[in-house]
Amino acid sequence: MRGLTVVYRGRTLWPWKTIGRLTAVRDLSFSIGRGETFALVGESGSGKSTVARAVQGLVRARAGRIVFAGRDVPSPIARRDAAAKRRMQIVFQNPDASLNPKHAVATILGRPLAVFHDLSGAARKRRAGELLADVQLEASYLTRMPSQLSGGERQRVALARALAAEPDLLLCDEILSALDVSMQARTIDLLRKLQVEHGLAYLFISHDLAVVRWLADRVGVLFAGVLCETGPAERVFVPPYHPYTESLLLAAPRIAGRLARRGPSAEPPASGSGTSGCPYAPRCARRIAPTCDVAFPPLQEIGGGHAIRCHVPAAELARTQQDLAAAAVVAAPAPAASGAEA
Amino acid sequence: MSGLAQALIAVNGLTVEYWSGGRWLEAVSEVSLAVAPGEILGLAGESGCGKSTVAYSLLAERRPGSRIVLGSVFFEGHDLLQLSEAALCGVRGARIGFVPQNPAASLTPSMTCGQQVREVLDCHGGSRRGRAAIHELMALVGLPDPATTERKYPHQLSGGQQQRVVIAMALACRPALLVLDEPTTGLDVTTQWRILSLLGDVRDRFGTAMLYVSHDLGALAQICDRIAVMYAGRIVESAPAAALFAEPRHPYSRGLLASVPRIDLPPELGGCLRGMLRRDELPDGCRFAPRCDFAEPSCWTTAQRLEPPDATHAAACQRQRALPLLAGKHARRSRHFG
Repeated sequence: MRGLTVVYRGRTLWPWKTIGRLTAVRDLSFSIGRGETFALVGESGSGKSTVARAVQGLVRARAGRIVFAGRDVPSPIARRDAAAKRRMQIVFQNPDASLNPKHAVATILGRPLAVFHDLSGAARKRRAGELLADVQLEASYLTRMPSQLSGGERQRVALARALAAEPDLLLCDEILSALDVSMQARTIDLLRKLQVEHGLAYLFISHDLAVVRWLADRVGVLFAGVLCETGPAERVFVPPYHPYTESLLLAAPRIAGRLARRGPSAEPPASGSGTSGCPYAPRCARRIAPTCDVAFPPLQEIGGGHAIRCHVPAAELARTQQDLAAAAVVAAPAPAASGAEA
Repeated sequence: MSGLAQALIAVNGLTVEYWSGGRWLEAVSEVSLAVAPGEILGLAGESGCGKSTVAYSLLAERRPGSRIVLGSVFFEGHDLLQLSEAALCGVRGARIGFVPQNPAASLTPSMTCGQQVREVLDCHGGSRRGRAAIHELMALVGLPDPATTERKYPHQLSGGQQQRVVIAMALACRPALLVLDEPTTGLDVTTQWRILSLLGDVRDRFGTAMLYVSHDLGALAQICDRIAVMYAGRIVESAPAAALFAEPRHPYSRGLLASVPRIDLPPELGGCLRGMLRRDELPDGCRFAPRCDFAEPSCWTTAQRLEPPDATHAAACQRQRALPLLAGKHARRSRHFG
């Protein structure tokens, strides 16, 4: 994905909402290697779902290229050829919304098998059973309806459906958020197992840093449509951090400790606030006025594939930041500068 | 368990059934708990364990299709379950506030936020009314610029702001107790941090006690003084928060904690809870036995009670003393196959 820009044209149903254009994602570039897990981390409104949808072709990109297996792929999914469509699949956050409640599991799995692999009859049924086994569900589930399944089971069916196409890349858009913690743990294990068995690559979208820490090979941190930091997981989770990454790590819940005293200071901006400067500047504890407010920050390459988009020199960040991920308990630093609390 | 004598609210032997598939099923079985004044008690468990049902029972809320079979809820000298609806109206909102899950669904979409806060004050507020009171509440919960925010409709606010409005409404009458049902589920980690901070401030300033219901152990760890863990309608462990996380005594609590992703430690192998809660296949004895790695035959038939009784840290497991040793052996075995 090079220089991906997606612009949402706002449409209104309620008269008091504004009609306008929102830049959801701006000039975003990242790449995912074969069999690799790339995690995209950010808050709601950061644009991470937009990225997933744009890559899948559900949302039209205004500018930029999507290069898949060495070939440019058109932005809208309708213009992609069958092979491109098959090799990239998406799983959504809410399995209730993505599984047709009127279709039995066999029908849900049968469709991609028919469309992508031309299977029918007994062969299709057998393959559907194999897919269910892959996601650790019994073959008896084939006759069940989504309403008869738990949230975790529905999410597994959604995964099986995506796997039915035999993709190379799976886009997982917050697939764990709707699940209980024990089901989350089992789904993560399942994702790992599937990756090993099938050589799958994942674009894993999540706001949960603890999950991302151990699941991802590489991480991208997204704020208001801009990638502020990218790099291998083991580098992103140690200093230097982008100030936004730092605030996420401070806010991340820890079992052993109480609330960190210094957390994020202000409400995230509405997407597309349209400033020319750094989108994180209004909230940033390390903001340099007026540079950060007016100039879009440069990308600093730190080495080993790690890059931070910030005006503050990486060396200074490294010097002044504590290693937050390693700490079981976050020490209470000085109280927050009073930001516009919302 | 904190002494019932000093408790602000004391639930005793609560049993609630719900109607499903042509018969009455037990959702909550003989649950007893107490919240001391100014204390934050967490109620932890996965979906289907009955924790939300317990929360609603604290408000003596009779939900359609369910019935309270046994038990009492003592609050400020009365058993709430015996009070009339009229009397309960005086308690709910005024003395016990409620913050439900999913703020977007709890706020009326066609009324401004200011109007909704005013409504609570008008119903329960007594002398504190008017614009000044509304602004004071909004400022209390950290909503920016109350004069502008009060004119906004819920959909014009972010999830975090909507939840703040709901909290403002719940606090409008300075209740002694706040019942919160998954208040930060679905919110970002940074928003969650802010909401939890706010709740901590509220407790520090007003001494408001809270019952915080959630499956999110991370959130509970950050704010609760004590935590009760529920499984299949029963409390299986009760302890001070720090003690529960340092030394979980019930196999379910152990499994649950092991499932929580930690940012500082890689995930444990073999720590995951296996299987699923099957309400139709519960044994007479310990309900967790089918999924327990440490169950012995008598566990299936022997009813488990919280032990030691009335201790600050208690677990409903007859093998709890042997557990640390058994768990160590189990972990070593799993690593061989893992």
